[in-house]
Formats: sequence, C-alpha cells, structure tokens
Amino acid sequence: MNFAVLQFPGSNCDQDVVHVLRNVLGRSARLVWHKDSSLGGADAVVIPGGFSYGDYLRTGAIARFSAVMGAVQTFASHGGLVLGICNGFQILCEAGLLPGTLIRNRSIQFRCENVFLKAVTADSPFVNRIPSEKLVRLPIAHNEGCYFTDEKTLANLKAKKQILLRYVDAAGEATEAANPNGSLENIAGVCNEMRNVAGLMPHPERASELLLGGVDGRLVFESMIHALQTKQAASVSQVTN
Amino acid sequence: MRGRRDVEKHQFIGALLVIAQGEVHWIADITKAACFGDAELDTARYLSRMDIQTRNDTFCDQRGTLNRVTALESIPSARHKPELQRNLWQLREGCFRVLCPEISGLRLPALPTFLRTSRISLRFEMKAKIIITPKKVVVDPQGRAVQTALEHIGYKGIGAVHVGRYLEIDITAVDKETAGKQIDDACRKILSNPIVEDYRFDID
Repeated sequence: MNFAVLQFPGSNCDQDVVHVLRNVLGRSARLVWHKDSSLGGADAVVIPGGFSYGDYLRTGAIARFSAVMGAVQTFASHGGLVLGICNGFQILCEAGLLPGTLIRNRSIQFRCENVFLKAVTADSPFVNRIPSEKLVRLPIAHNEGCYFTDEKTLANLKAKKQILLRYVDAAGEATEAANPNGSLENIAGVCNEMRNVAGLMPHPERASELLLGGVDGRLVFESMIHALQTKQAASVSQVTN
Repeated sequence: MRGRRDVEKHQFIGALLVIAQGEVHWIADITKAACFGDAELDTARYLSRMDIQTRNDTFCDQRGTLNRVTALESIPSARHKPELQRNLWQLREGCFRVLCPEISGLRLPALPTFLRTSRISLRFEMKAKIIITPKKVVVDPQGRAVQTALEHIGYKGIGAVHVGRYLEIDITAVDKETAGKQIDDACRKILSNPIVEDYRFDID
C-alpha cells in the first residue's frame, strides 16, 4: 500500500504526514514534487497542509495548476483516494475536486488550537473508523478555514451525506461557540459525490502520537488504510473467483 | 503612449508615432510618409511597435495625422502592405477617439478581414486593470473590520466596506478584443474564485 504525499513550494506538513504513515502506521509513503506529472503507482494521495506558493492570489489558487495536480485529477476520476489536509483542502476546492471554498476566518484571526469534531457519517473511506459518538480531538492552524458554498450546493452536500466532520463543543454539540472559523453549519470536512476525495481543515498528522498529546488523528489514516485493504481484498477475491 | 518609460525607450516621431528605438532609422517625420516609395514601405513592414498618443495632442494634431493617414492609405503600393495597413488602421482609430470622444466606448469598425488574417501580425501592448471584490452574499470580515475602524476614527456616513484585490497585467495582443478574451478567461480560471468573488476589468 503506497501513499503519495504531494510537496509544493511552501508545503510544511508534508514530512509530518510521511512520518505518521511510515513510522507510526508502518505504510509506504513517498513525497511527490509538484512538478512531477506522475504519482508513481500510488494507492492513495495526501495533499498536506502549508502555504503552497506562499498563498499568493488565494490559498491553493496557484497550486491547483501545477503538473502534479493534473495527475491527481486523473487519479481521482478513476476512483483513487485523495485526502487534502488544511491547505490541501483549499487546493482541492480550488481544483474543483471538492465543492465549495474556504475563505478568511470570520474572526479575522489565525486560529491555532485543539478542536473537538464529530464524524457525521461512517460511509466514507476517510472516517469509517471513527465511531459516530466519539469526540475526536484534533489541532487546527489556519487563517482561511471558513467553509462557504451556495445554498443549493449545501443542500446537495447534506442530501448526499458529503459532510464528513463538524466542529462540536465538549458536549458534542455543533454550536456557534464551537465553530472556530465561521464555517457554514460547523463544517470541518467534506467529500465529493463519488466519496473518494475528501478535505478537512484539522491536522490528523499532528495528533497521531501520544508524545504529541493525542492519537485521534490516526483514525483518519486508519480509515483510509481500512478502505484500501477492503478494496484490495475485493479485487483479489474477484480474481480468484 | 502610456508612460514616460515608453518615451525613454522609444523614439518619438512626429506628433503621434512612437516607434521602437533601433528599428527606425529611416523616418524623421510622419509627414514624409505620404511620399514613401516602395523601399520605404518595405522598411515600414518591420515596424514592430506603434503607439498612439491621445492625451496631449491637440485637436489639430490629430486631424493633421488623420489626413496624413488617409494620404498614406491612398498610395497604391501601400495597399499591398498588410502590416502597414494595419498600423494605419490603428492610428486612425486612435485619432477618432481623440477627435470624437463621444464615440469612445463604441467600437470602431473592426479591421478588414484580409488584415486580421494576414500572416504578419502586429501586436499592441496594453494594460489590463482588474478589480476583484467579494460577492455581496459572502460575509466579508475584512470589510466589516475596516468599516468599524472608519466609524471608530470618526468618519461619518460610512456604509458597507468591501475589501477586494486590484491587479494590473501588461498584455500584448493583436487587438483589445483578443486581450479581453484572455483576461476574462484568466479571471474565471485563476484570478478570481467565482464562488465568492466578482470581477471586472478595463483594458487600456
């Protein structure tokens, strides 16, 4: 099982993601430079956080036109798993791989803190290991994390269960006080209609070891690994049958 | 002619023409152009740049130029020089804009097809000025903060503030329409985010 972790000029969570995948979860992961037009046979792609291209113009606006994003578009259109974290989420929205967009936090503050989240659905390769009642504690660190989209798209997201994670308070309620950035309906993560592309603002790679204060982040990567294993097992049984 | 830098970089010829330095050692005054023979017209084909000064010229200058353009266009040998024809066409358009400011904003007749499709292309330097603003339906926390600050300082009657972006892009194209198409496309694809932003632009 191979993970490709994209690296843009300005990415700064790329090494963290590779570290968690390799050293914490024992999977193969390699960095793919933004100028590469191939993902080298990866089974899944992670677009890490950071400030790709210095966030010039708009967050993710320039990164989406890089060579590697062409490969990601093709990979995603064939059903490949693509996870965007923070700036990766912004890039996926800019690329049109995810609905909506991320704008300046309502508070006009850069928010860097731990938040509580709840998975809205389990029907996703990215959150299938998160029990529905579990309070997931992950760090956020962003300036443009306010999820916004038009009413029609929002209704569509809800109808098709594309909202994956919401910001909640310690009691598990999606209150306004628990919303760190003004996102519509406390949305912290969404997926596409095909469910194989997802983006989230919190950083699971920064909370995958006890040393760093929490291991809830592993659940996201373990969900992806579980989904890939299920898919591989299904294709093997198809071949043997 | 857009700026002082252009004047420094390019030779100022006659009242209206600015031609790239080094490319023009054959012309002293546009009035002589009407007497061009074949050799001069050939040289004119290599004209790579021609800007039209519209700001400082008097009405008479423009009318005089228009007359000279007409004279030059009437020379039989000039009719077979597509690039020269195209130069003259642009020059004429510039004159019209000064002479009849009320038509500015209206499009003058487009270049004749044979000029548009000729293989020799003359390209003009233009500047696109793009303004990108947040859509009204989107909460604009920056704008709100600025509004509060303005009110706090004591300015009266301050309404909603919207903070956007302004871009200037130098662009070279055969005409304004072509440049406009490219800028519009770029605005939609990359320069703005259509979900949360509106854009508008002018090309000079």
